[in-house]
Amino acid sequence: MPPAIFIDSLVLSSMYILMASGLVLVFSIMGILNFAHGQFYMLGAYAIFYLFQQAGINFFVSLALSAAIVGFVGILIERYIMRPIGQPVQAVVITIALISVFEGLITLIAGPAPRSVTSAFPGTVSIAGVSLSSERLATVIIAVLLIAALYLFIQRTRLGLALRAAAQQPVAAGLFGIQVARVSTLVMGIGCGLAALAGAIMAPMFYVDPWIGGQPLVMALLAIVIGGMGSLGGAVVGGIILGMIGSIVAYYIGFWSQLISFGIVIVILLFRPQGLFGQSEK
Amino acid sequence: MKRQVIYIALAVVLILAIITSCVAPAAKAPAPPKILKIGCAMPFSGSASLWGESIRPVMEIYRDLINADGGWQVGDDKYIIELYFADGPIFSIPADVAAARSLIYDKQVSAIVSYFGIGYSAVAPITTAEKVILNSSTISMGTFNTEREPYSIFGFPAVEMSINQAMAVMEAFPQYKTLCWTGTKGGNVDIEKIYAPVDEEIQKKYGVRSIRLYYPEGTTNYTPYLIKMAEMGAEVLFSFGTPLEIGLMARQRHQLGYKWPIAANGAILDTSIVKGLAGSEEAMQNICGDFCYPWLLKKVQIAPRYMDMANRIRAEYKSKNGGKEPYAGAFGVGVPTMGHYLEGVQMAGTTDPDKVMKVLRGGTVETFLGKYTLSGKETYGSPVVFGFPCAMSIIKGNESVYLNEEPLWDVDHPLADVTDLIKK
Amino acid sequence: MDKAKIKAKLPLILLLAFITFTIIFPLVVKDRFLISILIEAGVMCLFALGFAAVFRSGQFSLGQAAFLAVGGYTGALLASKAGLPFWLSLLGAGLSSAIVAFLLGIVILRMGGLYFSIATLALGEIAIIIAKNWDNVTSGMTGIAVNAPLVKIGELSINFATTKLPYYYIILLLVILAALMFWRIDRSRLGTVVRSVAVAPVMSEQVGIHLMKYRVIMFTLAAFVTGIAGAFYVYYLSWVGPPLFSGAQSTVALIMCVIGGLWSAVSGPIIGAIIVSYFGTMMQIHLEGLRPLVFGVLVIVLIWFMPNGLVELQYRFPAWIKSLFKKKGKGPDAAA
Repeated sequence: MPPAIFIDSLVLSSMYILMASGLVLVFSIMGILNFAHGQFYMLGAYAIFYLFQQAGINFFVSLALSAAIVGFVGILIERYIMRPIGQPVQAVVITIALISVFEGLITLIAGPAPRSVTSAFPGTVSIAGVSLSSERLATVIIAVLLIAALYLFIQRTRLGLALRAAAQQPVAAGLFGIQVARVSTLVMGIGCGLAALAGAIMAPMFYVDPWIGGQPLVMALLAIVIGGMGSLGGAVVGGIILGMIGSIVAYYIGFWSQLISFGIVIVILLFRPQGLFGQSEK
Repeated sequence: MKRQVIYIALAVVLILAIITSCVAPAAKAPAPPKILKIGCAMPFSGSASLWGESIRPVMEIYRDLINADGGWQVGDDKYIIELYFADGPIFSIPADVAAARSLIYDKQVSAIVSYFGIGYSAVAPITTAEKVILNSSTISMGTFNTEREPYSIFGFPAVEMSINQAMAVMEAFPQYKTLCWTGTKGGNVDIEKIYAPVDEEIQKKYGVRSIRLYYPEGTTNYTPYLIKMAEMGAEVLFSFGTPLEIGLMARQRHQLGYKWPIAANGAILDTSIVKGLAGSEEAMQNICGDFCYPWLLKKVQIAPRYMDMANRIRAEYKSKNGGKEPYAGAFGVGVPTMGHYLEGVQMAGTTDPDKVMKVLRGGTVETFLGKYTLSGKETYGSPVVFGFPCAMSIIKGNESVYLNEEPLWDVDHPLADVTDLIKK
Repeated sequence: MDKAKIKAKLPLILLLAFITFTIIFPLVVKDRFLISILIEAGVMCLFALGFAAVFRSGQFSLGQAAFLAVGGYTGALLASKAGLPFWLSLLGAGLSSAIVAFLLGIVILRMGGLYFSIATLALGEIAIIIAKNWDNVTSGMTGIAVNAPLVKIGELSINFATTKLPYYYIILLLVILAALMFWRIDRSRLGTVVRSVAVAPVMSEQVGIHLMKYRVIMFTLAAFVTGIAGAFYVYYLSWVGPPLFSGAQSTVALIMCVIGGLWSAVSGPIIGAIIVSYFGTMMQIHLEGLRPLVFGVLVIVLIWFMPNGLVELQYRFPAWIKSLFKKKGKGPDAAA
């Protein structure tokens, strides 16, 4: 297997993991699947376009800003549009409607023409005699760092602990002095920020237009089904599996890789519906 | 109690009134005589809106110029042209169908031109039932049946012209011998097997080796496929993909270090857009696409009146758009298909659809892109497909420039069509 | 007659008036574009009714488009390859959808609500992938063309190719039949049991109600109706192909039911389907590029102000009108 394919699968996995983790976090707060999650990916890509490509701000600073801005938008959406609606069914429909709203809004503001983000890491590097795209390597490294940071934050910091407690047992957490509302807001912001980061780091590899949010959403959904709805670790595993299928399997078998992705999801739903790492719901 | 009844009755009447009032007034004032209404269903929403928005202004200029000249001569009369556009997002068939319906029932057009969506099979029954002439691309004509759809013509032989297009590119690069065909593949169709006889012919006639590698629909990550193509020895790619797919493929091949020319079946959008898709000027080099500017064609003879009109349209467009050239695709799918219908009406001397079809079917017609005798009898049961110059452009620097032509004269030529083989 | 009787029969009177109106409508209003929109709205009504039926049993099926596809292709194949007449093709389509739903249902309905929904989502996608790839049967992207049916009733022969009016009446009939069926089920003992399965599954089980049985029943019935809708739609378009069925379509059913009103089994989905379908097409024709934005915003606003759906209006409207009248009657200090 050519090393380029391996790197490619890592790149894909990175995107899926970031998207899926974000979706899991948002799910733990909203209690429903946020179908508009893909739109935050798109907004992140536009953010990096305007900040990095147009305004020339340093790439890493742009990344951070993109995540912050989009995370903030997510918080606003959750608080002012979603929260007033008590019932989950209506909330789901609103997230679906938000897809059209975002796509339409961005078409209006930025136009339908696709935009390009030049790579911050042009050219190739030679590792062990193999020539690899610097852009892709950089993307993988950044993604790994982000995922590691997320892991450390959740597992090792007090805030992360509060987060986990609030997600699993909000009432009890509240009794212990954890400000559940504030934690929820933070989690929502992080979740949407992750989607934005996925969009931002992937932007130089694809293009940016108002409709790029659709596919990442589908992949994120597949990933969390495979990994397990409530589990971040599951999101990682799901993302890796999908990345491998999209790249390695596509290289060897080519055409059927798409069906295989869905096929795995069906198999999981049939035999282990809670996902590889989810908790059994009875 | 009674009040409740009244309120509810009021509500019902109100709702009915609202719905009925949305209906256009049925009795219009009789239209001034001698108007020819032409409809066009193109994408104006969604990502494909780039095409629609690029083509529409050029068609409107053509209409304006004809009307400024006093109208289009049909028999003893001159007809003023009215052009109607409806949003047919081309990837949503129900929307295309609704667009066609609104054009036919609402606007009462006598022809729908420049349809290049995938919904031919759903639009044709409507146009046929109302005797509206449909000028479509062959891209979705799979279920075309000449007896069932006697009012369809195909002005853009997208499927048939691809081989000629590819060969035009290969001719311009004699140093390359291996062509890789790519695009989305439907299903378990064994494309290699079906195209084997075609590939043989290509090898014999042009000395070009064909390899084929397709990907599932919706793919945006072409890297695995590109790597495979490199292993298989590809030197030039020919893709049936959309500009988005072509641009992405160009971008990803550049990232892998390949510089192959990538030829597209359709016209290349404005290079600034392609640059956005491909990522950089470097990445978009050697992208080839359909290039139908009449004033640049070398291998087809264009009637002086059409060359004249083409130049006028171009001048008008440039003066309205700060010197920018009109979109090449507007002269591939847009304006010529309008011309096909107009020419047919003029040749028949009447707007009667049966007489127009009689003249067009198997007839010889002057178009913006040359003089063609409609063919397709062997392949489709009826000679209703136009030829095409299959001129290709290539991106050099920041511009899209003429590369080569390989005109398609006859759809029934074995190298032109493979639909027949698939049916077998 | 005393007032109580009139009040009790009022809904029925209104309903009959409405049905009479829909029957007379196309004969009076000759706008064929409007009629074609209404025909498509009718198909969406059946689609929404199917979704609502499954929802009634407590489950969200986000893949109903799969049954539209199964019904559509079955109908197309029966019509073109087997040469079956119109009504038989519709019936066959409904049955095949129902069978597929039954077989799938007994497996996937076991899962909890969320997993079932995702499973149906995946199934919807898979149905489309199969349609695109199973060339021997579905002809892939080319699709299958269906000749317009020629129906002979005694001396009268209705050629479906030249006029769409018969389609209008047929879909009207189908919608009325489906609505009747679901309404009766809802009112019957079966409906009560289904609702209890949805609202209180644990308790229902303890009382001895076999949850799966009722879920499967509703799922299968919904697929039957949806399959017929699919076949009808294919006849109407004279063509079936993968682009007709998109993942987004199934979510449209959800939107229709929510807008119409989730708590009603029949009138909610129908109202929602007609409104969404009609305004959706109108917006596309008149707004073009702006449509997605306007549509999304409208849906959000509608849900904010009427989370229980438009069906609520029938309760709110009289009170609102009354309040208007009351204000005016209060005297000079209440003048607007």
